[in-house]
Amino acid sequence: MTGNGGNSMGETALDAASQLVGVVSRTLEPLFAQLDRISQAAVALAELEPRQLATADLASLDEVTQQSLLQAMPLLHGAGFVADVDLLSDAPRGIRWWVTGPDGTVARGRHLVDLTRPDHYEYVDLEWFTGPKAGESRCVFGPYVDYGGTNDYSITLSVPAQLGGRFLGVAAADLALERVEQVLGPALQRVPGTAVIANAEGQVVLSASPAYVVGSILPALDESARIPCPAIPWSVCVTS
Amino acid sequence: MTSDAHEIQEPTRQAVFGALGTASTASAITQRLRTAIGLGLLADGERLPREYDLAEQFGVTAFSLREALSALREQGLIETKRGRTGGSFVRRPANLFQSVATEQLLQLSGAALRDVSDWGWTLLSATAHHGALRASRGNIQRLHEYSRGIGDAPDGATATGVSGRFHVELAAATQSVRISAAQIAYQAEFGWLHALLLEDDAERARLAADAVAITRAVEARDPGAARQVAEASSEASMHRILELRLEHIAPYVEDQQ
Repeated sequence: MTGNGGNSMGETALDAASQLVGVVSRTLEPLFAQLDRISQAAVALAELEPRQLATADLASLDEVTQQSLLQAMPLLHGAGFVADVDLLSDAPRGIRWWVTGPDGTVARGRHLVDLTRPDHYEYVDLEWFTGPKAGESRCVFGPYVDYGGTNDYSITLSVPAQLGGRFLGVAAADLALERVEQVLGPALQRVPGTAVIANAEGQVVLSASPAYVVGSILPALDESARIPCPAIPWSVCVTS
Repeated sequence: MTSDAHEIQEPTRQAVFGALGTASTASAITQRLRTAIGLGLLADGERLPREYDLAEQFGVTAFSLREALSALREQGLIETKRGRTGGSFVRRPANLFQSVATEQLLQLSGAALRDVSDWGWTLLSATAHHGALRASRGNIQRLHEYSRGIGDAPDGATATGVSGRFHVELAAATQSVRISAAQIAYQAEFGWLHALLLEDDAERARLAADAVAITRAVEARDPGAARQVAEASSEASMHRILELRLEHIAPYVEDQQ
């Protein structure tokens, strides 16, 4: 998917690609706003509580998480707070999670985080956790097969919860891929030539070309064919 | 990062706890649970379902079930604790695997073993191919870690755990939910065959080298090379498993005469 020299994109392709970048921003920014709310609630909780937090304390994040999920409803199908290893006094791991049901309601999602169980869900090495922990202000991880979870094909968004210099954990949410395709698909289709949305690693997130399937790694691209989305680690990649 | 995970071995679990059919005796239950524990289908420390539920799932009386559990307790394969957090917990002795796996190997026909191996071959080849085209940096980093881990493992059991993670990671690298689910189910049901190979030092070294070579081909984004190593590795594994079966059948046939 290389361009033809310096002027790889025509005017119309560039316009259409810029419009697509706008649609990406308008779609994802409100979701990150909801994640920021959850993150801020977690920070406030840690700030107000004089003693070290325990697993049960995370229940006070439920209201804001439910509201966030309801507001971002068709695009997010799960959201919550995931604790760093030393945050909680009574357990080395902690997840407070809510999921949306098919009827538009929200319900508790449960993760087995008891390290003594052989089938526990281990998240500390997963990119949506390590990214924000290492200082990424916004993480969009995936698409990936969540084989430790329900084996869904998923994209996880996350932001750090930071109190002063201390990392408390992440506010995270799962994107419903089919909804993302419904929302971004039309703008993607309008780009002349071949257009895909790729993640920070150059992996295809959404494609309007049978040659570049979702999940595959794009070949090295001419920089002029890649338009980064502002504040979101995705790019629109176009070739005439 | 969706929720309510961890029932990934569901079909295997149904096979372990499903109704017994014909000889619904205590010894049949004992035998089935012993096999499941020995092969690692039930993990060390795992809590068995409640007695009432177990009896219903096996389709036996509470009396037969208690007799079976008591036999398992005597063999040291389960431990029963009383109280609110009580129940029967799996205790897996280190030396149980080899004998149980050998028994299982003898129960499978040559045709059945070839069939299972063909399916493993297909999964490894397909995951190597698509993985080379789609693996993320994180996938590749973990594949490196696990493939090194197989070679560094001090014993077969440790190598088996890491090798299982290698296979599932490679499957996840394909970005395919169905292929991942198939590989997870295959590992749950037939991982013990792999474990039998990994008990042997030479085989462990071979499988570790193969995993390293697959990882390098995936990193080089070379699906052809990845597939080639994967297929040759599966073929060598099948050869060795069939060989093992014949080695064990020989003394068994002599005993019968």
